[in-house]
Amino acid sequence: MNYTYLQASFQDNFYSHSPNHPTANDEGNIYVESGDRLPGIPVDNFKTGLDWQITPKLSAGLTVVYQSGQFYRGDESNQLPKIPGYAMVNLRGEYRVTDRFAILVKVANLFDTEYSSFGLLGQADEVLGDAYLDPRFAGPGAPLGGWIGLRMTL
Amino acid sequence: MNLFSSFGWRAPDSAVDLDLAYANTDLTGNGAIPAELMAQDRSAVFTFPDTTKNELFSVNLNGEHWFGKQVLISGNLFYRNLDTKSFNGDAGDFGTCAPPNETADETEDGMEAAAETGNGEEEGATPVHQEPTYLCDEDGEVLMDRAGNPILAQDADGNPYDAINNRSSRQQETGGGILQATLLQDLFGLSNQFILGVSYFTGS
Repeated sequence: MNYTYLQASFQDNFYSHSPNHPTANDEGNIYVESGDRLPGIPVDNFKTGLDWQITPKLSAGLTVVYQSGQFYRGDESNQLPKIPGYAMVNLRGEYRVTDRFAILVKVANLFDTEYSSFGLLGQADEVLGDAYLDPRFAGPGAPLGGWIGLRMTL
Repeated sequence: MNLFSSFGWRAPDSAVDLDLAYANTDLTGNGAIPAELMAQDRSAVFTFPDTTKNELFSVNLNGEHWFGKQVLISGNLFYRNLDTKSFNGDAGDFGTCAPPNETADETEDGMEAAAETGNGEEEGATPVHQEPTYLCDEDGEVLMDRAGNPILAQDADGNPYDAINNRSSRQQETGGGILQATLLQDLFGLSNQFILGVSYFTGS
């Protein structure tokens, strides 16, 4: 089990250039105050794992990952709502068919949680047209995925 | 697809390990997408097609050998080759400008000739055609295609050519090795560990 508390914040007051921010002034700057948190860095990171040896041949593992919300890059002044945090469950399994041969299974994002791994501010209307005014861009996190592997020991 | 294999050889005084890895992936959508677009379709891409293909091959060889009880020679050799190919679209920031002079004349002649052929029977019909405009960079230079012809600013139906395709290919090759000697002889009657090594890495 692993928990990280990370309080990464600016220590000065300054103007930061972020022309796509809704609160940007005429020069495209936003005002960042001491104590504002660095975008893209979640405060809470939690990871825990469990492993079972179900039978001598069959083993399984489970990990749970959680991270709290993070601010958009470009929102150094922390004015916009955060990108939501998320929790994700991953599974793995291994079946030893013989001493030399094993089948591995891995499932990532078991519940197909929809989350964003990072976000930034940009200008969408330049490409998509005038209807797209929201400056927030986000990177969608990987959906439910599965892998099957074979391991041969010679 | 990922392949990984590891081979080991052990003797009382020596060990050799060889690791081989190969990976081949083809992924879509590395970039972030606008919030409103994601609300419509989570699998959308902001700029099309946003694909990245990676192919990795790597070899890693480790070895060690004891000379007696106090001298260990160990080493490592590795090679890694990563090919990345990406293909994506982007908005073009090009302006438009009048055709370059010599080409303009040719084009006008050509168009008039074509118009005349088309309206051959109708005497006095003045061919109406708009001055074609071309894509230009920020210095006002007309952009040329690969054959050296100027690129029009719009297609025959008047749709602007306002996007570009970016295609990139990157090949990274790295390799190197480490050779290290560990000497455990006592020094001035005290236990001592002396390590001497050289390493060499190269990449392109």
